[in-house]
Amino acid sequence: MNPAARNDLILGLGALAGAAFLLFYLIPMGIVRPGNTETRALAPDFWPIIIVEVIALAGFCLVALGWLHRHKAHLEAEDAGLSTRTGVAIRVVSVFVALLASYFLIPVLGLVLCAIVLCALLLWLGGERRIHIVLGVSVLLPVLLYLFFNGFAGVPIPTGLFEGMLDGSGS
Amino acid sequence: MIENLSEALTLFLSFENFAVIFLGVLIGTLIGAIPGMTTPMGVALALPFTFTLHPVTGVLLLLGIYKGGLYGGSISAILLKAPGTPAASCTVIDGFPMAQKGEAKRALDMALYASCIADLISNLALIMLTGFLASFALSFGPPEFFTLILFSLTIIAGVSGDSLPRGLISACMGLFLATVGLDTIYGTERLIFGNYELMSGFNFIPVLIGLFALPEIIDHFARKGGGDIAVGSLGRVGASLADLRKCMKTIIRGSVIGVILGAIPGIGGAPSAFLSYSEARRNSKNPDAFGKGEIEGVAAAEAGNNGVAGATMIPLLALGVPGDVTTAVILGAFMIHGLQPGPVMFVQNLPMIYAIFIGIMLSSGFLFLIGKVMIRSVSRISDIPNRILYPIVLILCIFGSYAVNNALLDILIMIAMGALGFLMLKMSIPAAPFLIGFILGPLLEDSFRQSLRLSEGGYSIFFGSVICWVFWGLAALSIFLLIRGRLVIRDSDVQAQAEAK
Repeated sequence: MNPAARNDLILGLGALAGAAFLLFYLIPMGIVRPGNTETRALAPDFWPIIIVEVIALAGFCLVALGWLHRHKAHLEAEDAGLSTRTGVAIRVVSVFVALLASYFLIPVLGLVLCAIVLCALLLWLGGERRIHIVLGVSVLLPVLLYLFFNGFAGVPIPTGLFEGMLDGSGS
Repeated sequence: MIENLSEALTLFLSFENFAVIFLGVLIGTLIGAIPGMTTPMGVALALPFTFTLHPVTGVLLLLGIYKGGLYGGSISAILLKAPGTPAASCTVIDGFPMAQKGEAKRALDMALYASCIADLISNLALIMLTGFLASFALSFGPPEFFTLILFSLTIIAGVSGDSLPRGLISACMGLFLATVGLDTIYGTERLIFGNYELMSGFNFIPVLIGLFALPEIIDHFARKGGGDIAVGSLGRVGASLADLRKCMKTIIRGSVIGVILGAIPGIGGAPSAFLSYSEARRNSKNPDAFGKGEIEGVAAAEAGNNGVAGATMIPLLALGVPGDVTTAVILGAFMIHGLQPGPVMFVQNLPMIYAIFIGIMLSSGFLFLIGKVMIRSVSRISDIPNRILYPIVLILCIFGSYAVNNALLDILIMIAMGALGFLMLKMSIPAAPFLIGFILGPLLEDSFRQSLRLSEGGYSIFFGSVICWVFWGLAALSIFLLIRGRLVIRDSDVQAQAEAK
């Protein structure tokens, strides 16, 4: 099957499934509908339902397009091999895991320290091996941003364990 | 009038405003010159830094980045054959062959002259037309606003890439996300599931940063370091006065095309640049030279591209609807400062609008100055390896998302939006319609429901006035022009490919 048509089919079916989930589960569960709505169009769930119906329509269009073009000639290069795709997936998941870990560690370690560790990790993951660049960038940038937001913009940046120490020097 | 101008001058004349416009244009030029960094991304990243600034100063910083970014895209297009923006892809056609012939400096000079002249013409159009349009819009009621926003949603077709259904899915996801929060009529909960931090809905900045900046960063790590390209030499000879004289007619024509297409929401810089290019080629005495390093081709593309810069602000300031993705971000900046662009702003905050006009005019001058004096150093920015650049951008994203509300939840929202944006990137679903839907969604729903309350549920209210009919007609015209613009781009691509063979 033509890969572009296959993508259209997968996305279209995904959109239809997503629309069904929103329409039959999320909207009834998540939107409180008062009993005294003047007309149906003014109900709080009317607009979300219309949007979901358009998603379903667009999904249906994609399925139809994918089905119509399934045998059309395709000139693009073949997809990357399985090992390449696995490597890509591992790198992408690693970045998201690092991001989520930073998020959950911010209340404990503070935003500045988390940003230093995250920045150093990503520089290393990206292939930067010069230690003075890794340390210079990953330490200087979060500290400068802390000084800007905390000192100039008046945004209290969470400092976690270092709360007393940084409050004394940074603000 | 005089009183308003005097107040505007008082608002504008400060060192801070001059400095932020200069800084904005410089940052924008740098961002535009870096392949992989986009103007909306640059504006989004700068947004959190504007919170503590005066609204005029904050908006001028973002406008400076916008204008600098449009020109900066031509630097990487000419030197690296890697256009920083879709609109700059037209500049590649003649700019890169000129660089290969050792005439990069001449091409960059012409790109600068064309950009500055087009920008100036576009700014003048903005100043002359916006007030008129806004005074007309004062008579709008909810049904007129509903049809106006519906018309401006045709922008989605312009930013949907190759597939309209994908653009539509993206826009609907944005519209759906915008429904989260308290219902504006009944005050009941909508999709917040007991999380009271979401009662006022998702914050604009984490959504924006997550969608526009994070996917590019993740994609960089997925590709592991791809995309570092060495910058070639600039050459010594710049564009002469004779070159400028030769291209002046093309530049003016391109600027006018840019102004007209830029003022229509959704058309944007790319179709304008390609239309200007194709008109220049059609009117040229030497059309065969186009595509092989013709300086007039660079002038036409850049004039068309930069001609939209001021014009996209016309619908934003006069009607409160964005002309393109970057102005959608700037609309968000106005909202963050408690301002709603549109006719009411002309009544309540006229000096502020005049101050913005003065700053916009000044930005053209700074663009010329930066382009002339700093081009050699600015062009070296493309040398920064992505492996260093992207971690820096990521840290900016995290601090920027947090700083909006001092809420950790916003960082989580940014990460979630980044994951969604990355999935969308991989599935070729454009992110821009999502953002447009997210911003215009509440305005569309509010005007729709207000209209229905007025008509007690009757839908005929949306066809009840001449203005409504005008907007229905404009929506149809806009879709027609978008299709025509796409055909022009497709024809130019086919022609360029044929010539390359």
